[in-house]
Amino acid sequence: MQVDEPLIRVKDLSRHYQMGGEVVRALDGINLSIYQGQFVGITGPSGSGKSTLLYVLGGLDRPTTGTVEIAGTEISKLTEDQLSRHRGRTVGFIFQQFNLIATMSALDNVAFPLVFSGVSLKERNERASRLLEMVGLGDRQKHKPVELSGGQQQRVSIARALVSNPAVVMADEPTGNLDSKSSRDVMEILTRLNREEGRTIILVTHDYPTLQVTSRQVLLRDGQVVADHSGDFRSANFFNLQTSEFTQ
Amino acid sequence: MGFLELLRIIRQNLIRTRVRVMMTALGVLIGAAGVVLLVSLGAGLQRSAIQSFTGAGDLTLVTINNQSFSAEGAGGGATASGNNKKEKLTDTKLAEYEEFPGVLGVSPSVMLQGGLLRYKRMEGYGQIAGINIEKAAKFFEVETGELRLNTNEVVIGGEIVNNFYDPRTYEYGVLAGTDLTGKTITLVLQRTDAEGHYAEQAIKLRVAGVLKKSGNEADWSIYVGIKQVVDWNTWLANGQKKNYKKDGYETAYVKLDSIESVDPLVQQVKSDGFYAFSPIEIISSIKQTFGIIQIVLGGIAAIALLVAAINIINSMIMAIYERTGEIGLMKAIGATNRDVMLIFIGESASIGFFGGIAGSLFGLLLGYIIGVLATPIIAQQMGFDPQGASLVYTPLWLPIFVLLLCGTVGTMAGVYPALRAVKLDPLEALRSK
Repeated sequence: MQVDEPLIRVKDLSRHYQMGGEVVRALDGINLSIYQGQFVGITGPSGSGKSTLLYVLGGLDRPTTGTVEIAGTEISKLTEDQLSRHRGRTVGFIFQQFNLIATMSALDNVAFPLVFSGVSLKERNERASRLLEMVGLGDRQKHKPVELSGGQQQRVSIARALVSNPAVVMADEPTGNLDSKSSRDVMEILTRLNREEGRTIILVTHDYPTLQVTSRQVLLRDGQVVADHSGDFRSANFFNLQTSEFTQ
Repeated sequence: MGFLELLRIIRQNLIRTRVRVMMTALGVLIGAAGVVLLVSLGAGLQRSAIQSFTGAGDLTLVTINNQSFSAEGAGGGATASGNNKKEKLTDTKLAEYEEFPGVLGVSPSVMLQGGLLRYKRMEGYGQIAGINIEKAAKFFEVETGELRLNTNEVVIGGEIVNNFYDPRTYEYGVLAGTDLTGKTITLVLQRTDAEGHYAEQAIKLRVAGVLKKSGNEADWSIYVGIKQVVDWNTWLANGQKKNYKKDGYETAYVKLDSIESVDPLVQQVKSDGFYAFSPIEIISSIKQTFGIIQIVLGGIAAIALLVAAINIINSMIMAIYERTGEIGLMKAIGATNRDVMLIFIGESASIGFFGGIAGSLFGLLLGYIIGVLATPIIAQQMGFDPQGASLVYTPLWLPIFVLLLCGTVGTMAGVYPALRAVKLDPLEALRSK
């Protein structure tokens, strides 16, 4: 599945915040290459910079120094509007809080990103409807978010992340607000997307079972990559290395 | 994002916050209705004023005076300075005006300096003017009788009959409704010479015709052949005869073929140093006065619109607080700043626009109701005849203007909130929930 050129190439990436006169080094010299078809779990303790890394990769946040290249585009050089369009085309986001629009039906929520890329109403609804079927909500298309369970809402947002057929799906703690049954459903869908459709997924989590289904794990601490492991998650030192991170 | 998409999103956003949208639009509605109603009222009053001034109005009759009205009125001619150019209103000059483009006819007019009218036991008065009837035939229309001024014949204005009173009781309007056509009225001239001798002569005059009411001074005038008036004036002045051929006339009338011809002639007359008067000038000054009234009334109502604009801004800022997460999401899924800007300005503009539509309609409705209910009362109190017209008159441009104004106000009010939405950092916005 891997090809020679990485889909995402991160070089010397730093992201510093100014916080009450103090500089917080949320990311501090990250080098990372992510390839087409990988299911990457980014993990680490609170404040390790894992979410920041995800959002910088996704173009919602900008690097202080260093470069991020996705699908051949160097995103730190883009203007704000170019970056917006880039996000719309290349990245599908899944958030912990779902971020569905409460007044829109499931179908409209899923189709919403296509509004900004100029896809016709008919095609938008067709694509959104197909994706809702795919996540098992074919019979809930007209339901508003409040009429859906947390797990169902998150599945709607997975469908939304896929609707513009992005190069990479980025999920920030997608199971963070879900019970274990719903979490398993959501992870099952993500795994299927990765295995069956070859979708590249980057997922931020500090949840051990969630991490288990990923094919590559990156451990951050204090804004730096301290471990990067591919393959069977349980076999490596990685597990030993990071157990301390999960003791809380 | 295409225009239709934008409209669809805006519509959706307005519908889901409909209560607040309606409350905000209500503010615009009140402002818009106020502007429409008050300006319509101003316009209606203006129309009534013009109508009551001109009646069926002869707008194409210009009166030329060698002296100003005010000088004549104030000092009985004693202080009148005449014209500074030393031009005289002679027959030659009038012949020149007759050649002016659009002129149908020119007649000099000589005022009788005194005189009292009698009809049976009643006394009356009127402006008695000698005119050249061949020329004047072009500018007068008779209601009854005919336009003919042989010796001792007069043509009287339509209101003259109302100028008679009973000398014992001073009761006016005693002849109202009487048709004087063909009747004989008596003109009484009185003079006192330098030695203090009093003399009186009574001239019997036959009313050849009564003029159609025109709303101008002709209604209050009695026209006689010019030569007779000159003779009477000479008698009144104890034999001193004015040489009109040499010194020129005090007044002349010019009849024009169309309203468009009036202004060039008036300009020419003024540049010759005479005073020119036409109802059009009065109308334009009425229009000016009422234009100011309309602006003031509209301005008062516009304050309501200003408040409405602030209300929209406030409402939109609230919307942005409420929808911060949504704005963040829109940016995350590919909405550009332009998209976000257009959505919020569009919502704001729509509130203004729909408020404007509803307000204009409401203003028209209110205007109609007030017109129907209040016109008779107000007209009675102000003492004029609305002639069947409503006191509230909405020119076609007004609702269109108000609609555009409200749309513009809504759009402008949306700019600042939209800029705030644009400036939101997508990540912080997403996390705000």
